[in-house]
Amino acid sequence: MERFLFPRWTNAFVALLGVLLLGGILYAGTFFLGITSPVTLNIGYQPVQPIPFSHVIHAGKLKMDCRYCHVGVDQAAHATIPATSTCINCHSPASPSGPPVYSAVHDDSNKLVSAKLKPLHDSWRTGDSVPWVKIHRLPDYVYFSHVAHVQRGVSCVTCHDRIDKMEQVYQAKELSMTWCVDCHRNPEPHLRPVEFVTQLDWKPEGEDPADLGARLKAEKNIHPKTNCAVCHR
Amino acid sequence: MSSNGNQNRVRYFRSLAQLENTTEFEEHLHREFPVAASEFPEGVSRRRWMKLMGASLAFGGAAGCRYQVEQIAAFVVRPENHVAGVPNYFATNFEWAGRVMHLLATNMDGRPIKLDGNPQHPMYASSEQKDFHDGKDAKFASAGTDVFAQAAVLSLYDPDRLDRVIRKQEGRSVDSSWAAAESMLNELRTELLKDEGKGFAVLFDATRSPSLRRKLKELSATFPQATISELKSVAYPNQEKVLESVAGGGELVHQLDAAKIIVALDADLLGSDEHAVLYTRQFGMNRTPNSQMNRLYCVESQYSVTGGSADVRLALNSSKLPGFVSALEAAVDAQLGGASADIADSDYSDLSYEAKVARVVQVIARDLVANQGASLVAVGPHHSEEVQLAGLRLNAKLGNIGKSVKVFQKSDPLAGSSVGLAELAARISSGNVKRILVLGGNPVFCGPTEFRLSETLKSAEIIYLTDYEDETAAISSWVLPATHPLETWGDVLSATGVYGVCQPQIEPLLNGHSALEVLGVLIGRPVPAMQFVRETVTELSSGMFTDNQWKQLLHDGFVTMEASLAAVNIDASQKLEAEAGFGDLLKDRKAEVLLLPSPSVYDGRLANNAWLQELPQPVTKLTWDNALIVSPRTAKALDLKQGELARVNHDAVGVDLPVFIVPGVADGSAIAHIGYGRTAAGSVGNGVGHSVQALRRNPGSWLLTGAEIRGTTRPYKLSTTQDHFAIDELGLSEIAKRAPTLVREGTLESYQSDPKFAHVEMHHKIESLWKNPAVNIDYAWGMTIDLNKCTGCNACVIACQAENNIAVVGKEQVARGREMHWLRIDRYFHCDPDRSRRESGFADPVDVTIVHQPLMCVHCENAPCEQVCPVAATVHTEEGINAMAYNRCVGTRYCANNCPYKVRRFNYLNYNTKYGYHYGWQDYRESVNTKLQSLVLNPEVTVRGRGVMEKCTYCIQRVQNGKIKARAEGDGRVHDGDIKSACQEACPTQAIVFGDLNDRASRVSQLQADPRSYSMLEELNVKPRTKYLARIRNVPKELTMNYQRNTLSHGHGAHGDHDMEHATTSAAH
Repeated sequence: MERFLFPRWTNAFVALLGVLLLGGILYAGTFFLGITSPVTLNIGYQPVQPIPFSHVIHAGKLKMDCRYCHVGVDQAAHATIPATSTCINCHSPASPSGPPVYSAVHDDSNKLVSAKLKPLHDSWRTGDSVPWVKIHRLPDYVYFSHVAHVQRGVSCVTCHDRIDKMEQVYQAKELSMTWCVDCHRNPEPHLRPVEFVTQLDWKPEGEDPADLGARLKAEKNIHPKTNCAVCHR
Repeated sequence: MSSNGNQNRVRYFRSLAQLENTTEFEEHLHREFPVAASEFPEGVSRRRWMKLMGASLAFGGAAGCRYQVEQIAAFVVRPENHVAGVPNYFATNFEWAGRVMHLLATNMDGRPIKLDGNPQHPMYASSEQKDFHDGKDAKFASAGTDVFAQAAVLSLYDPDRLDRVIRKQEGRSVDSSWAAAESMLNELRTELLKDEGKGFAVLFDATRSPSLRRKLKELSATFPQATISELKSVAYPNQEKVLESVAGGGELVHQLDAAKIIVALDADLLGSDEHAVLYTRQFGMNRTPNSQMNRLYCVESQYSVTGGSADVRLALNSSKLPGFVSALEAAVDAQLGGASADIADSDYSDLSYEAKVARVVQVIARDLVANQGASLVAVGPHHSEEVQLAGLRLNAKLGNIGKSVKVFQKSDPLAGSSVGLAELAARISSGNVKRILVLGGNPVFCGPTEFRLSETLKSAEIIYLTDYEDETAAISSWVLPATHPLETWGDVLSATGVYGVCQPQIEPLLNGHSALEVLGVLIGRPVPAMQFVRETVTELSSGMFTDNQWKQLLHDGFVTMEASLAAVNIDASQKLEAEAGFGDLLKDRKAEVLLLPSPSVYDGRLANNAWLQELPQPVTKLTWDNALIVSPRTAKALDLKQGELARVNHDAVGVDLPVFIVPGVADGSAIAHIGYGRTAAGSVGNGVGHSVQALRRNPGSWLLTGAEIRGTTRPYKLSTTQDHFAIDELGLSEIAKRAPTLVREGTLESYQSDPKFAHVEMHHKIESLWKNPAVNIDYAWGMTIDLNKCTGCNACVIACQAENNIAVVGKEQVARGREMHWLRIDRYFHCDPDRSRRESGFADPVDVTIVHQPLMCVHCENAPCEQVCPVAATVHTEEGINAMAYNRCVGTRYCANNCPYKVRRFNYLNYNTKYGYHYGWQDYRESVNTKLQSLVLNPEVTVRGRGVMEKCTYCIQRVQNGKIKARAEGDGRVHDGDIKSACQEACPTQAIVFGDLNDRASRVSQLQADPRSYSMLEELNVKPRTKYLARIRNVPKELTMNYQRNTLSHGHGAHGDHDMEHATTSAAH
C-alpha cells in the first residue's frame, strides 16, 4: 500500500510555521508585556491643563503644604482638586478699585500678569469650574482611599513622586494592581511618621529606614490586606 | 433525637405548587437556572423591557481607555464643611404614600441617595430597643423605615417626571413656562378678587402639612367664596366618624409596646396601616422570649403581614367580623363580671370551624381580661362605625384607653372652611365652580367613582400641579410640574402632634414648584417656602421661635411637642348587635371582595417606581401585578384557576383580575389591591396590573359584599417569585433525614421547657477535607436574623437595592427567575398536616401559618462557591466576608450552581445598557442622556454589567469605610454598632443585627450564643456566618395545635417525609 506523503515542496511550510510561531510569541510578548504594560501605558501621562499650574513654584519654592489645596486628602477617599476660591485667595482678579493689596499675582487687565490665569478668573466670574484634566486615574471599580494611606504615614511621594519638582504634573508611577499589591505586601519602606507625610523630600534621620518602617508598622498596627475586597466592592 | 416527629411532620411549603408537587415546581427546584436563561427577550417583550430599562437606573463605570480625557469639575466655592465623597446626613420629614416619614437623608455630594429613619425622632425613640442595657442603645438606634420611604429616592430621579409647564389650548398641548403660568395665576387672582373667589375651587391631595393647611386657610380668607376640598385616596371615613363621636375628632394611635395582648381584628397594623413602621417597631420590642413576649391575635380575611406575624391567626370573612366582635364583647363583659372563660378541654386541632371561632373568642377574652390596661383591640378602619365603636368600647372597658390606645387631639386650621368631595362634585356639576386648582392627588384615577370626577372635572377649567403627566393632566388646561418632597421646603405634623420640618436635599431637578409656592403666587403673597415654614413653626410654638431653635430644628428635624390626649367618652352600656353567624359564604356562590391599598404602589401614585413594582409583595410574592387573592377552596367553589382571569361583578360594575391562590385566606373572601392598571403613569407603570378603581365607589368602599366572581378561561401570566430559588432539600435527601428544616419554630411553652430546641446535634462529627486558611485577623463579621421579629415587611429588600445599585429586570425577566434582589424574603406556609391530608389531600390546607425568612448570602466560612470558581473571582477576606471581584468574573455560574442557599444572582443581560453602561467600542455613554436616573446610584458600589455574578457583600463598602473612619478619626477599632448593613438600618424591628463575632460582647455575638440560634443547612459544614434565631409562637395552651405541640417543639422536622409523594422512608434513629 502506498503511503500518502506530503510533497517535498511543502517542507517550506515547516520553516514558515516556525517563523510564524516565533513571530507570534514575539508579538504577544511585546503586546502583553510591553505595550499594554502599565509602565508603558501609564507612566508619563501628562495632559495639557487649562492653566499651566506649576507645582515647582507652589509646592517647591513657596513650600506650600499639599493640604492647603488638596483638602480632602486626610479626610476622605478623594484628595480633591482645589475650588476656584482657593486659588483666588492669592490670585484675586481686579475689583473696581484696582488690584487688591494682597493679590499675589494680579489680574490681566492691568497687564501685570500673563493671560494664563484667564480660565481661573473666568471661572470666578461665571461660576463654572476650571476644566482641569484628571491625571492619576484609577478604574471605577477600584476604590482607593487617600485618608486610609495618608493617616497611616504613607507619603504623597510614594504614589505621586516628587510633585514639587514637576513644572507640569505627570503620572510617575504605574498605579497598577501589581504595584499596589507589592506595597501592601511589604509596606515598611513606605512608612514615615504622619507629620512628614506631605514633606516630599523627607529622609529619616538617625534611624535605619528599615527599622523605622518596622517600628511604625508595629506602632500603628499596620498590616495591609491583599484580598479583593480591600479595593473592589 | 426525638422520634415523635415522625408522625406529624412539620411541613413547610412555599406555594401550593410545591405542596402538590407539580411539575412546574419540580422544574424550579431542579434546574439550577430557569428555562432559556440566556435568551434575549424578543418582540413586544423586548420593547417593553427596553422601556423599563429607560426608567430604572444605572450608568456606567468609566472603565476603559487610558487616555480618554476625563475632567475634574472642582467647586468654584467649596461649600462649608463639604468634603467630596463624604456623605452628609440631614434630618427631614415628609408625607409619602399616605404616611408621614421621619427620615435621615444620606446626601452624597449634594444628591440624596438613601433614606433611613430618623432614630432620634420621638415617635421612634419611644420605642427604642431595650434589649441591651449596656449604655449603647443610642448607638444602635436605627429607626427603620418601610418600602415606600426606601424607594422615594428612585422617584426623585425618575426621568418620566413632568419637567415643563404644559398649556392646553383648543385641544392641543403647548409647552409653556413658569413665567406664563405665574402671569396666569396673577390674572386669576385679580379676577377672583372681584367677587371673592366665586366659581373657584381648590382640590388638594390629603396632607398633614401644617404650612400647606395654613396656606389654604389664607386662600380661603382671600377668596371667601372659593370651595376648598381635600382628596384622600385612602380614606377611612367610618373611623373618622367614630373618633368624631367619641372624642370630638382626633388621631387614633396604638401603643403596641404597652400591650401584652394585641388583638388585630381585620386590622393590618404591621402592614398597610398608616403607622405601620411605628407599630412594627413597638411590636418588635416585646418579641424576645427570654424577657418579654407579647401575644398577637389576628382575625382577618386576607393574609396580611400582621397575620403572618401573629401567634394565633384565625381566618374569618370581613363581613362576619361584626358577629365576632359582638361575641368577643359579650365574652369580655361576662368575664369582667366574674364569669370564668368557657373553654373546653378538647384539642383545638380537631374542632370544627365554628367551634374554633368560639374557642378563640373565649381565649382572647380571657387574655384581655387578665391584662387590663396592658392589652389592645384594634379593629380595621374599613369596618362600620358600630364595629369600630365596639372596638374602642372594649378598650375602654379594659382600661386601655390612654395607655395602649391613645387618641390625640387634632387641630386643623382648615376645619370649617373645607367641604367634602361630594359637595365639590355637586358644585362643579351645577356650574357653580368653573375653575379648579388641583394640587396633586390625581383625582381622575384615584378619586372615588361615585363623584364621577373624571367626568365632572371636565366641565371646569383645571389648573393641575402634578409630578407626572398623568390621567388628570390629560383633562387639565394648565399642567404645572410639582417638586418631589426631597426638593422642597415643607413640614408635617405627625399623628401624635410632633412637628417635623421637610428640608430640601437638592434644588428642583425638573423645574418644579411646590404647592406652597403656587398658592403663594395665587393669593399674592409669594413668600419663599422656607420663610413660610418658619412662620408656621413660630405660630405653632406660640409666637416664639429663635434662630437657634430654628437651627436646632433643622438639625434634629423635629420640635419636641406632643398633642394632648383627647378625652374619650364611650357609653359602656351599649352593645354591638350583630348576627353571630359564621356559616359558609360560598354556599350561594357569593363572595366578599376586600380592596386594599397596594403594598407596592399604594394608591397608584408610585406606579412608575420600578423598585416597588418589582418588589415581591409580602405574602403573594407577586411582582408587577395585582391579583384577586383567594383561598384554594374559594377557587374551587367558584371555578377559578391560578393564572387565569376572573370576572368580579359587584353592583353592576365588573372588573377583570388574574387569580392568585393563597392558602389561609378566609373562604369566600377575595382580596384585590388598588392602584394598578394606570394608563398614564409613565413608562414603567403604564398598563401594569388591572384596575379595580371602578369598584371604589365612595371613599369608604373597601369591603364589598355579595360580589359575584366567576372564572373566565382567559390565561394571564403572573410573575411570582414564591418558587424561585427554592432550597433543594430533596436532592439532599440522605442528609435531610437527619437535618432539621430551614426554618425552625416552636411555641413559647416548648421553648421554655427546652430552650435549645432549635439546636440540632449532628449525628456524625463533621470534618472538612482541608484546612481553611487562617481568617478573622482583626474582625470576624457575622449576622443574626431573628425570625421572631421579622414581619416580612420588605423594607430590607428595597434598602439593599438602593444601597447596592441592584438592577431592575422587568416582569418577563422575573418570570424567568432572573430577578436580581440580593436579599429575598422566603415565605413558607405551614399547615396542620393531619387534617389537611385527611380532609382534602393537601388541596386545601387547614390552619395555615406563615414564617418569613430573609435570606441573602450567609458568607460561609467554608464557602462552596469559592471552591468552584475557576478564576478566583469570589474569595474570602481575612475578616470572613465572601467577596466578589466583579471584574474577574467570567460568568461560568459554577458558583451559583454550587451555592446551597441559592443566593447568587447573575446578570443574564446587560440590564444597565440604556443608561450608557456598555463595553469596549460600544461604550458611548457620554452620548446617552444618562444624567438623571444615574444620580440615584451609590458611588461606593460598582455597577455590574452582563455576564457577571453578584450577591450580598455584607455591605462591604460600609465595612471598609467604617474601618477607615475608625482608623482616621476614632481609636483605630471599629466598635459594635459603628457599622450597620443597609438591611439592618432599614429594619423596623431590628431583626437583623450585623457585627464583629470576635468581640464577645458584641450584640451579634450575644445573639449567636442565644439558645434559639441556629445555622441554616448546618450539616453541609459550610459554616455560615449568618445565623437565624428560631421563631417562637406565643400560643396559648388552649389554642395550640397538635402538630405545634408535637413537632414544632422539637424542631426536628425533616425526618422521613411520609406525607409527600417524594417521601424518603427511613426515619428511625
